[in-house]
Amino acid sequence: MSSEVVLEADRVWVRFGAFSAVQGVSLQLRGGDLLGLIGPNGAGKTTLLRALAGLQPTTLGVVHILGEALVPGVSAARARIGFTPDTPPMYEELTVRQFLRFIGKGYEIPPREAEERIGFWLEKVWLTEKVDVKIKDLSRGMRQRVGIARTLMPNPVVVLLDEPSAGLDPAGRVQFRELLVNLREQGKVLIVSSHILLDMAEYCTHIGIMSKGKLVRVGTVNEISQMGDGTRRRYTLVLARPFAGIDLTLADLGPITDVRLDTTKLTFEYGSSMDEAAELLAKLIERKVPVAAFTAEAPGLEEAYLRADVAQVD
Amino acid sequence: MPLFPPENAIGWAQFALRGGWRKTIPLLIGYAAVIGIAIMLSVQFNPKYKGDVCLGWTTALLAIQSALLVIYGCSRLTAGIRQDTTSRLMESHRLMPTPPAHAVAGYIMGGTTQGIMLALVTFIIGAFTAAGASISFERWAMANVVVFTFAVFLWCIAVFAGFLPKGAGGIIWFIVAIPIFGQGGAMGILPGLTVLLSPMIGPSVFQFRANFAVPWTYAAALTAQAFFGGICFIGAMRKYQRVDAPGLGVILGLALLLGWAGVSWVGIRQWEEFRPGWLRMHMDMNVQITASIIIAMLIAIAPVSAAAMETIRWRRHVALHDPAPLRRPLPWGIVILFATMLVIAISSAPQVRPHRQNEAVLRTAMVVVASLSAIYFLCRWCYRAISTARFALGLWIFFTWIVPMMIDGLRYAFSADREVEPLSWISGCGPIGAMVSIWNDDMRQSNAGIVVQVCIAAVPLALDWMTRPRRALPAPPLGAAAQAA
Repeated sequence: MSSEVVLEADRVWVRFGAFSAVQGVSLQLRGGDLLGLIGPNGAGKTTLLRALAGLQPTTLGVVHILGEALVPGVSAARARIGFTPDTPPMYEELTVRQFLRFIGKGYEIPPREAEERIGFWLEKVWLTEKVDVKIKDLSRGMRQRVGIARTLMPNPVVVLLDEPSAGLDPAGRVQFRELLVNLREQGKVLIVSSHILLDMAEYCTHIGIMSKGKLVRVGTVNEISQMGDGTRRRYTLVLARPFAGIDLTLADLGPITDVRLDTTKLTFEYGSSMDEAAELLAKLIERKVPVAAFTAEAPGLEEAYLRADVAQVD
Repeated sequence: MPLFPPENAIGWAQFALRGGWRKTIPLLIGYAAVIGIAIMLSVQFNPKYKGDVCLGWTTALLAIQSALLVIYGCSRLTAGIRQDTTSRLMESHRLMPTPPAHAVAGYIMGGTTQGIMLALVTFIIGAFTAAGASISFERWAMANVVVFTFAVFLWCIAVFAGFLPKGAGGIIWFIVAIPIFGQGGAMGILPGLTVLLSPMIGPSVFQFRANFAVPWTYAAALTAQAFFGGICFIGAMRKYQRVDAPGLGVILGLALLLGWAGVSWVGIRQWEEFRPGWLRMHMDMNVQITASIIIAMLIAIAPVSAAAMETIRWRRHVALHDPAPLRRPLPWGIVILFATMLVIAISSAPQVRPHRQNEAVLRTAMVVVASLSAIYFLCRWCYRAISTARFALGLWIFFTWIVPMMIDGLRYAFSADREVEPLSWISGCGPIGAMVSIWNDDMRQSNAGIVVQVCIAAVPLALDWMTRPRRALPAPPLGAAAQAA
């Protein structure tokens, strides 16, 4: 991991009239950092990504790429940024090859090298056989992949991806995760916004939680996962058969909170130490609760996200 | 990135989207075949009048040339830009290291390539028909050059309009349609427009039989077209660079006003040189001055509102201690002073000084300063709360510029006695009516109106003063990430 700051945002504000979509976000990312942005719909993730890409004019604040301020109209720093929106814009009437050739020309990549890169990236996003198909004839997932190829073809230093795996099938998502890890290892800075927290825990180095335009939490995946007081954790209890009055039984056993019951499966919060877990299990068996499985969940992103008490936007 | 396709990516894509060479070559062959066959058949059926038939075709081909370059070219251009804007491809382009000038040139070149190719075929066919009609090749080529330069001028306007809200393309229709539908009336009262259009409508390039020598007015018109085209090109570059930038900032807006004042001045002073031969009606110079000044005032809104926007943005950045501070904008007084000077410069055009000119100029200056100041403070008040002042401006102009004229119009229409003056002091309460009174040598009637206009101008000033921020805000705290770091 490089120590040089590649992307720096200093007090970035984006306002639309009286509404502040992004409020004073500051962050610093170094080569090899992969920041996952999570937050409810309307939290400002997309606007922040667009502001970091220099596409959304900021009301206040400045973004630096390798120390160079991202000023509208000055293209040198922008060329180092790759940005894929949730629905990548493309020329529908062009074939995949024509579109990527256009990108090559736009980034002044010599034609021979452009052809090599087109072949390389189409292979990486599993679209080699669709090279001469018109973009309008591609499925949503395939377009998403072309969008990713478009972003990566000019070899950007900073890669910003907004909901990149939304249109991908399960196999595509696995391959996409590998691609992200690969890019991270190349020393690029990546910011990915997504709602699939399980995936993000696997490939991100850092997580940022956004709410109402603010970056309310940011840290490494471990730091974020273990955020909270650490005295409680979530347990899953699977019953062999439905047990009448299970909620009342649990209420008798001590400070159990946030109980969620689904016929034979329960989740709840209780003390986090192993002794407390053992004591609870013993009490359940003593009260003849038909326990088929009892699991203490490891602290995860989902848990941390719920604990962050992020307000949903109506 | 080079300026021209195929190396210019945007130009290449715009051409490729219309089918590229694969569609263009068959189109050219088909077009040449249809026109060629039609010409041959008409000559075949009228062998006695071969010269006349060829002359007719030469004129028709020049008209087709104009339609191809102007109508087809402009519509392709605007559509291409709008499509890229709505599909957000423009944002993808903005990430490329493409200089704005190259991007705008790419849109122009790529969007019009098919039209240019068709025009080239028309030019070649026309060279043969011109020869058949005993028209020299130079004459045919010159006519094409005039049409082509006019088309380039309109393309620059079209490319700028493409970046503006829908409906801005109407500027082109204003320029093209006015001479057609206005039957010379609008051109007669706006000599500046006549100067711009003179190569197409004056001693016309379409009259092949007439003895024709290139007049000096062509050079003046081409210079004016290049100036206005250049402003629009730079405006398009600004909009390409930054979506929230005003198309014409203060400097470009003042440059546009300078251009209008310049063409109006030349047009009024040399009216007989620029006047189209077919425009027989007598034009009162005072009417020309009045109309040109009113259009100039409308143009002056661009730099004045841009000055208001820049001031508000700058103050906001200063108040919030922005880490990326903006450049200090030009003081509003200077902008209004320059704009007023340019507007009243039009009145100095006549070779013979109108009666009581100094008094008229002084009153005109008062009206212009009051109107533009009101607009400046109205815009500033709007930009403080919202990102656009368009709606407020529209209402303001309607109520303060047009309503006084409407009231007088109604008063006149409903008066039983037709001896009532159509314009009274009520019209003078708005800039349009005041200008008509002042330049109609009816100064007395503008007195009360000017006082009322100054009072009206105080309203936005008071609104702006009452809503101004009272003190600077403290610097916002660093974001969570920086704190964590």
